[in-house]
Amino acid sequence: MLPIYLQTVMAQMQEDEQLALAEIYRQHLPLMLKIAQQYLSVQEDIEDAAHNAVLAIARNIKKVKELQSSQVAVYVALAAKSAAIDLYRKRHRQAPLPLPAELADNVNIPVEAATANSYDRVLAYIKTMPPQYIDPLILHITMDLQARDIALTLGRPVGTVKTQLRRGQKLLQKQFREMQKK
Amino acid sequence: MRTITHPDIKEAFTRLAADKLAAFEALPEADFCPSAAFEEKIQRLIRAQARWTWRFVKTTRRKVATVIAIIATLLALSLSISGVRETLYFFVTETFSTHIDFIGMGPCNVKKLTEIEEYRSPKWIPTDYTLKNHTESRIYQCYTWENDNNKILFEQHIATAYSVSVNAENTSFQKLYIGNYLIYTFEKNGLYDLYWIDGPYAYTLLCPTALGWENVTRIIESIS
Repeated sequence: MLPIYLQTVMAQMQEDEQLALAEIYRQHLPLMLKIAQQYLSVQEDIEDAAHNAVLAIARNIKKVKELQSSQVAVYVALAAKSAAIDLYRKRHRQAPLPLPAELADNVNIPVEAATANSYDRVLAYIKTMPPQYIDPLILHITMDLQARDIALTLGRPVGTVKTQLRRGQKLLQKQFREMQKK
Repeated sequence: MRTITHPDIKEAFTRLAADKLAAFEALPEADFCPSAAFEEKIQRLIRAQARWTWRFVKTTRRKVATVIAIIATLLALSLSISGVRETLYFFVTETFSTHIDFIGMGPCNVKKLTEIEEYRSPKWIPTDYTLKNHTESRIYQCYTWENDNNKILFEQHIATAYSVSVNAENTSFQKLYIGNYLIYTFEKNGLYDLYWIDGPYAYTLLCPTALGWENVTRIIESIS
């Protein structure tokens, strides 16, 4: 049995987490639904995808700090997108997944088209990277999420995410060094 | 894993995230209102966070916990079924020309007892016998009852720590069931030697044949 003060603290933490999740749901449900709608056509499937996304967010709720920040919105959007893609794959086990052009990660922006700014060139390079590396890297670099949390959010195995992060960062470092040499 | 911390790279990813978010936000609104069932499901999920069990919702952990619970339940239940119990704990017998060895064996995956947790003894003994001796240790207990001519001896051991060598020369040996117990019996010189296993314990009963099987059975059935 925990001491009463610890029970109180834990109850308070749980209450805070509940409030945070409720707030995220209230703010971002329309975003989750519209993303899921891009991949799924049946309302029940769209709702299931949103539910799975909320579940993934709930599992990582401790990592979500500023509820109003755009980082959280990105996080929610990526969770919704992954949940929708997962469900789409389940519904169409053999079919290839056609990604809407506006959602595609591998939009080809030629590196040479980038401006002189270092981060613009990095950005241009990122957009040429294999698409599966991009979402994990966004969550890792902008939100400091670890592989386990990213795996929960994106519904991928932890080992896969670790590999994607490692390879993605290796590619980035290599490219970044070359850019600096130039 | 080392994280890239260069500000330009972080900035690039932040901008990429913002671009992605803008693209997501520019998508057409969902053309339906969420159903009441969906709202209820989400509210249930939010409420469930107050319980520690919510982490098991829709996870591999839940599946693992369920499998472990099922196995534990089956194991616990199986101990109440004599057929299974006997396969869990049993005697290995080695027969020689002059004697038979009984060695108590148990399952490898169940923690072995180091001391008797439940001391058991016959609750019925023929009225002309009186208790003469009772010795008890962590791994063994023994009762002796005597009347004018004979004595009855009852022992309880930890099955997996039990082995005995029985002189089998000029004896009649048989295996029989009394109640749920498979009992190995030897009859020699006017005495019955009985050996059996019940759960993690091995028992021995030595008594005069003059008692008759009816009384022997009654003694064994009264053990609790």
